[in-house]
Amino acid sequence: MIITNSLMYNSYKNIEFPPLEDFAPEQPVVKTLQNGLRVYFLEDNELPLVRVRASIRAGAAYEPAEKIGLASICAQVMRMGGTLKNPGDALDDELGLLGATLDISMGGVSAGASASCLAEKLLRVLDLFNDILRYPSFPQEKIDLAKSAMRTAISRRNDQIGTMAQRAHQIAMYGRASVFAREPQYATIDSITRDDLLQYHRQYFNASRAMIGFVGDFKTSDIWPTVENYFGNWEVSRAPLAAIDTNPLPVHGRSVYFSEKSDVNQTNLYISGVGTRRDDPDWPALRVASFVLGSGGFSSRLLRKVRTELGLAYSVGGGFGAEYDRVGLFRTACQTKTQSTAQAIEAMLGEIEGLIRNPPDRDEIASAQDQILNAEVFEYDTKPEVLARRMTLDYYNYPPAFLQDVNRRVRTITPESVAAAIRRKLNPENLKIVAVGNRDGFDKPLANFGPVTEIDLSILDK
Amino acid sequence: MLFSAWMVGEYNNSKCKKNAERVGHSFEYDNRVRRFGSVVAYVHRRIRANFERTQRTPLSKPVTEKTSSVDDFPELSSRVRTRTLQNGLRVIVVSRGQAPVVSFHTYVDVGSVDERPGLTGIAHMFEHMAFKGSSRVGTSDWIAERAALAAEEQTFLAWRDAVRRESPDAETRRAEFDGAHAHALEFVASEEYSTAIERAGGVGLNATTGTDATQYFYSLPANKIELWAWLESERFADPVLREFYKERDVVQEERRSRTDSNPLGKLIEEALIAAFDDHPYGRPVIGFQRDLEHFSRTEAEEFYKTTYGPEKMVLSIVGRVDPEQTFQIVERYFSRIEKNRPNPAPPEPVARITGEKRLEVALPAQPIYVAIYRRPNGRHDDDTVYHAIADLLGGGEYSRLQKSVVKTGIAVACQAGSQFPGSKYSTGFFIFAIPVQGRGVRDVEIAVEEEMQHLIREGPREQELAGVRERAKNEFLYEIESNAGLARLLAHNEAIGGGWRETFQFISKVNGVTASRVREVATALFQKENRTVVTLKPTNDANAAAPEANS
Repeated sequence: MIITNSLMYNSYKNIEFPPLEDFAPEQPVVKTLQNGLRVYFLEDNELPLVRVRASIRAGAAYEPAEKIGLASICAQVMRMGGTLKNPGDALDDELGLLGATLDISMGGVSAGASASCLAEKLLRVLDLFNDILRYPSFPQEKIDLAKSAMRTAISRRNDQIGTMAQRAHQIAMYGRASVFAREPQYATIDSITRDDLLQYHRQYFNASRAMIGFVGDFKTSDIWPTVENYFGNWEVSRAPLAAIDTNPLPVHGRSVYFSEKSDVNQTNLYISGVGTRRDDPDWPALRVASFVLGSGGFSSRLLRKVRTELGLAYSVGGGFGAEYDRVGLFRTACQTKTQSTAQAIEAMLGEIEGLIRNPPDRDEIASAQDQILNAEVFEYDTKPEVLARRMTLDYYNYPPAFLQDVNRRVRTITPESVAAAIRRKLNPENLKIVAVGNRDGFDKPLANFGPVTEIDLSILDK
Repeated sequence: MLFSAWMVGEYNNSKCKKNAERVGHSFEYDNRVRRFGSVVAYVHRRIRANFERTQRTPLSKPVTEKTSSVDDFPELSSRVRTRTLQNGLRVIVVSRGQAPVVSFHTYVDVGSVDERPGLTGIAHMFEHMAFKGSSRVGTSDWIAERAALAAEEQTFLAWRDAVRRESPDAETRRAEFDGAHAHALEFVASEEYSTAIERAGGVGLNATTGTDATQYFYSLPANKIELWAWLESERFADPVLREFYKERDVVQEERRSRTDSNPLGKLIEEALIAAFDDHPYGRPVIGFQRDLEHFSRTEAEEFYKTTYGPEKMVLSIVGRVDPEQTFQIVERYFSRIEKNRPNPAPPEPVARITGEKRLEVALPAQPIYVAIYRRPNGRHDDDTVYHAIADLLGGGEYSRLQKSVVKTGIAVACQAGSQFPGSKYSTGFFIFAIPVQGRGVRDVEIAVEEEMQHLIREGPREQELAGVRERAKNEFLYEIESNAGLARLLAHNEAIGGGWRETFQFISKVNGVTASRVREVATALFQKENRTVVTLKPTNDANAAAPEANS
């Protein structure tokens, strides 16, 4: 870097920056085992650490409706219960002694396993990782513990307004029966048996549904034989994943969804509609539009209006959501004091409508483009990040250069193209307002904003 | 880190996380809140035990000789360059990495402990104001704005005074303030300061205020160091606290989110008030509501002038940089920050045993158990012994409390932490537990106490200490893995931890912890007289806080 100026610039706007050094991040090496399992390796020798992660096509969406909670309990007991060779309690002790971590996670439409350790412990941790992933023993004692923890979680469901609002929002947008809105009840937990767990594990944790990645301080050629040895004989499965309905409910007109929490002095608000997919041609323009509306930090319209100008919220923001394999949600949110609930809704609606009435102008678009493109280097500045992005893209069958491609298209966005994309994807008349709070103190009745549907979040007795 | 930072009472100025956008979510609340919410709501998820990761404060002098095979990462520490400017400001630069990025961390040795009673929350309030600009940034017409700000302040003080005197003029004074306030806002170039950073590609733009310190940080592409130097020096050389009374409303919303509408937030606030009734650690960092409604811009400016100053600041810069050129830029911009004559720091509280304190907080939520045991500050020779006790007792799945309280079905989570809420002064060792449905806080307490007595009777096994050592090394490496993490740790140690070199001595100090010392320290620590126990008592039973049917 060359510094020629020895004085302070009078304005930060006049600072001349040297060009940013070219940087092409190293890409992972991808190998495929004979059973079809893809394995990614990315060497990073700065510190003596290694991370391992597996992505698995599973998730709570695939559990039967009468056994909600099954997938989550499966993941927990895989780790808590361990295997016959490495029982859970011994595993806890050994990992503690190694200073290593090993976790199984379960999401809605994906599952994962991850481990981290010092490079010198990698072989042992890999042995444990393989064992836990493939041969969990599901001891009854740990199943009971996990079920009791799940019952406890249910009993605490309504303690925090934030989680209540998230649940109400999912119910409003997807419907109670949706895989994204349904939730465990005492009865569904009680019905889960050890056989259910064994079956769920057998069905989803196999080589055909998984990919594994390594990043850190190792030599690929050194660990490849071990990896081949462990995972090369992992079973395959030809059974296709069950089809699940992942679409949000259609939104017609303005409507309000409300759930009461009387012991708080703040309302949690969402105003949401239907979003888009990442592979939609409008996505680059909608990404820019989201920056302008509410995902672009301090300079976005929602922030400046609701927080800075009106002082109505600490947290406020939102924009067009996009998923890789399904339609996401257009979602905005804020938390405001009970007495300014309607005022905050009006301010948020005003900004959402403003996207159509007063679409992003040249300056706003330039600002969003600057933010996105100048920060592009942070999308691949660390190797764990490079690996994670690549695995995610492969998982959803997106081209490896997808992100660069989106950024290239962000560069070409104009006021006309962003306005057209917004008009195609957002109708401000079709929005759902979701509120959780203490209605006695609201500044105006919610019915002013549309027909009100009560969302019952009470905990079902059992 | 998220969980622990929340627990120790740090409050930050985040709104939308750039990181969240980068990984594809269109928007995300403050991560800390979400993470914590998920702990309570989804306790079945196993909580990563990471209380200690951000809060350890290595000692100023070694406890024992280094033991064998200790790796203090001499290669990395040899790349740390430091400089002190004439005004006393300290600068740390580490050249590192391949990607052309750089992380900046400004660590200010000023926190809520430096506040006066009646002005709680003002350190955090100043942190928010440090994003509002200067006489050159954030204004459309500084001359006019300056006059408008003076009028706004004058009318605010007159209104406040009228309210205090219960004067019949209060409403008139309020109307005058409203007018002057609206006028002052006309000159604001909204969010210019933050926007300048974001447009340049800044990520992770944020700040936090804790009991001990205030921290400002973000990262930029490596060719934009001078932009950071310009803006960062500007906000401390010439802060203009514009939009103060709007931002005060925002901070009150922050308080509602974190404390008033959050059972655990309320519990923690009460626990600290009870445990530290003799020290500013007992006052909430976010501030009491009555103070947030009361304090003025004049008082915030006064707070800044009497606490901040270059000798209280450490700048840490880590990434693909040339140290010599970086020092030159820093010197050019930061030398203009004038020395203040800060107020003396509050005195160390006198260690005193006041007997056990117990408090039940009645809330419409399920039971929670919090115990705080008083302990010495983070520079004490035994600091790593407390760290070891917290780790082996309640640090993770391997820990004793996990075995005796969680795996036995008494609690779904039970954790320990060694520095709460701070480390600069005599502080607290805490235990936090969430009982299983149908079990009470008393069951938790009996099981936790039994484990403490066990540790006092027999001390730790050698194998447990070996685990503590391995985990310390791992956690340290993960913390310094990112430029931002290394920058933060170096700045923290330089500012309040006894010098940046302590960063590279933490592992060897943990390695020096002996079983006999753990037993001695645990014996003194886990006395009933030394603790405050605060529990959440549900105001209704099974279905707490359920929506009222058709109300």
